[in-house]
Amino acid sequence: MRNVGIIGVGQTNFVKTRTDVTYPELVREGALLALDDAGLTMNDIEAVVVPLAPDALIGIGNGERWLIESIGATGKPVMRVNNGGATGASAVEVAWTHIASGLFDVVLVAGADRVSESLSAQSVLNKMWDVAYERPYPQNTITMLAMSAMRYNHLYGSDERDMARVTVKNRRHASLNPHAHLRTIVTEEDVLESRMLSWPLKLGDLCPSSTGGAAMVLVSEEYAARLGKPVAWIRGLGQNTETIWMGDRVGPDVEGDHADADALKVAFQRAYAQAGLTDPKSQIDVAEIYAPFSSVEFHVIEAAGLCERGEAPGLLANGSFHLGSDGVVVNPSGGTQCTNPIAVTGTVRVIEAATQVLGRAGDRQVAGANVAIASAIGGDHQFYSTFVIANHLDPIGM
Amino acid sequence: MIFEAVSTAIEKAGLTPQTVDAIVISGNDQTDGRIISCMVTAGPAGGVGKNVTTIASAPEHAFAYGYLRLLAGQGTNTVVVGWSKPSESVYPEHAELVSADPFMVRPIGMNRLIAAALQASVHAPTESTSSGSSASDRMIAWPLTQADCQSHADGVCAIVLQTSDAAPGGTGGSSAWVRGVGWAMDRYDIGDRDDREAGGLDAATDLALKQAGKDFGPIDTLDVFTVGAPNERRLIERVTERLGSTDTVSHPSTDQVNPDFAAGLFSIWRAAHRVMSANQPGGPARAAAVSTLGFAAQGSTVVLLSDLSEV
Repeated sequence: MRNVGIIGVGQTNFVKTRTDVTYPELVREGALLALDDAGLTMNDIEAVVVPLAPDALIGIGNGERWLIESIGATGKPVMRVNNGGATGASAVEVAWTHIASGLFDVVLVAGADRVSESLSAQSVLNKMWDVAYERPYPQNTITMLAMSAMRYNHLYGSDERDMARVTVKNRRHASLNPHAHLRTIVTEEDVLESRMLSWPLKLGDLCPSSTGGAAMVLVSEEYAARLGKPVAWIRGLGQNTETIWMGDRVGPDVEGDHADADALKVAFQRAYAQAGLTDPKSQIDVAEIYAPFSSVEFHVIEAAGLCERGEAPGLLANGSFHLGSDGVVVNPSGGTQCTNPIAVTGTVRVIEAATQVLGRAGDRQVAGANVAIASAIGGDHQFYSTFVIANHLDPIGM
Repeated sequence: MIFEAVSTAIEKAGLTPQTVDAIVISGNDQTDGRIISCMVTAGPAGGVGKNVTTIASAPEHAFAYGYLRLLAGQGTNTVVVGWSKPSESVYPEHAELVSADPFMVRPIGMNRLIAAALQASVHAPTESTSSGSSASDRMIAWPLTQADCQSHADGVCAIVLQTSDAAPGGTGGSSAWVRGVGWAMDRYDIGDRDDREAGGLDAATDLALKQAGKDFGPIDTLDVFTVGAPNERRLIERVTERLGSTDTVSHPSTDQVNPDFAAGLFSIWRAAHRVMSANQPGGPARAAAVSTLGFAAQGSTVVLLSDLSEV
């Protein structure tokens, strides 16, 4: 199979609102950063993949058409991906496929989101559920993940303080990341005393509604050799899909439990198999995983095979997963919990993983990072995308 | 509807839900009313436990991605699904209006028919519009009459793509082989486009011919989809100029049921069907399916098919 790598990345600084630019202009900002990082211009780009999740969040349908001229893509092949929150990562998979097919050598992934522009993101996100039952419930991503958090805490004996520790870690990491949206360091007490939204989730457990753009340039091995620049190689990628009905994920007759992320585990295993990664605990240096709320990070860590089920809270309490700790560092960027521009959140996860293995992460750099993983989650924890990124093409673990 | 179409398609292809490798879906969330409609469509398409990707820009782009997946060695088959159910939308044109930029075009009430009318008006003074003008033929948006335009329709199209080594009978079976797929975007605003240039269509055709070989034509059959009969005639003229056929059998979109967002995939389906029946003596051997997307052809896709996997 043809090797594909990341040669340039770009992300704006993420904030709540940007009234100085339109959506196409925001996409352009990220695209230009990535092209500049790659040392290329739009004339070099053969195809474009646009991650754009719920159109309703930016207030325009099929916004990928609107941005064509802003990035200079007129006359080029462009396609848009929408796998909910997994979109930004799925778009990287689609771009990877362009190049792995042999038809293209250099492809741009470029997107943006303005989640706060809708004024009530949760009202918009409520509209992803079925009209008859879950929408009037009213279901939204907070109430959805509150049920998952309750289930996890019930099964594994963790509590709200364990969840608060995730926030404390991620905020500290984000304080070192100039692109992150929430960069203020907080304490466990700050989180525990924050406003209750849907028990056990409080405001301090949640991600923000972020605005910003992100982009990356992917190239074939042959094209990379001509450029002679360092490359973050996509060594493995996986995708998997869960049933829409959360009620089907709990009970004696189902294979998975809403506390866990078994379908995500399968997606990780697919990526690991392609990459030849056999021991996640020892062979991975960095994990940039999609966890918009504190509670989610536990079962994603476990699905990635970084520890056994139910172990993540205890390991975190003992200092694991932090920058500077032994073992895998989880979300050194601050993760989705500190920055969530939904359409490109998955793209940012891959960008951060690539930046780490290239040793260019600045204050948030994990020392000696060679192998990283990235993941994203979409829908009602239904679509899962996973990646293994490395700074070499040698067998992993050798 | 999706379950029915996919079940039928995979059965005809000799597959089972368990042997499907991946699913690529395309739909339009604005018309549907759910903001991530693939959440509810992935299951009936057989996607639970599998790789499901939603290509939301166009169903013909979903076809292109399914093709790329197989070229990239991602499995031996992909099911491509395009669907549309505008009957559930109280007023589909309002959903189309949301796809207009909020600053300039949306305030004037743009939708696909108005855009198509503007496109057709470029040529209206020199040519008649609908072929069957009659007293009952109501004006929709000058110069387009009701006979020039497709009605909204519900429908699902499912196409199974398989590699030659996995297809029943290998290259000798009754299959339409994908010889080239090209897609490209044109400028966003109609006012920025010279309708006579057709830049997106030319770029898409170039990309498809790059794969199929510049000598792929002449084609024996062509299926096109765009909005408005005059625009369709213009599209046929341009495509046949490039693909060099004098015997092209065109099937004007107004003669077919074209479920809004699945129309481009149905066009590929019709072209493939004609090639798959070409194993009978005298049938068409080379086909093209050409479709446009967005307001007045903001993008174009060209799919080239033949009854042989290579020549």
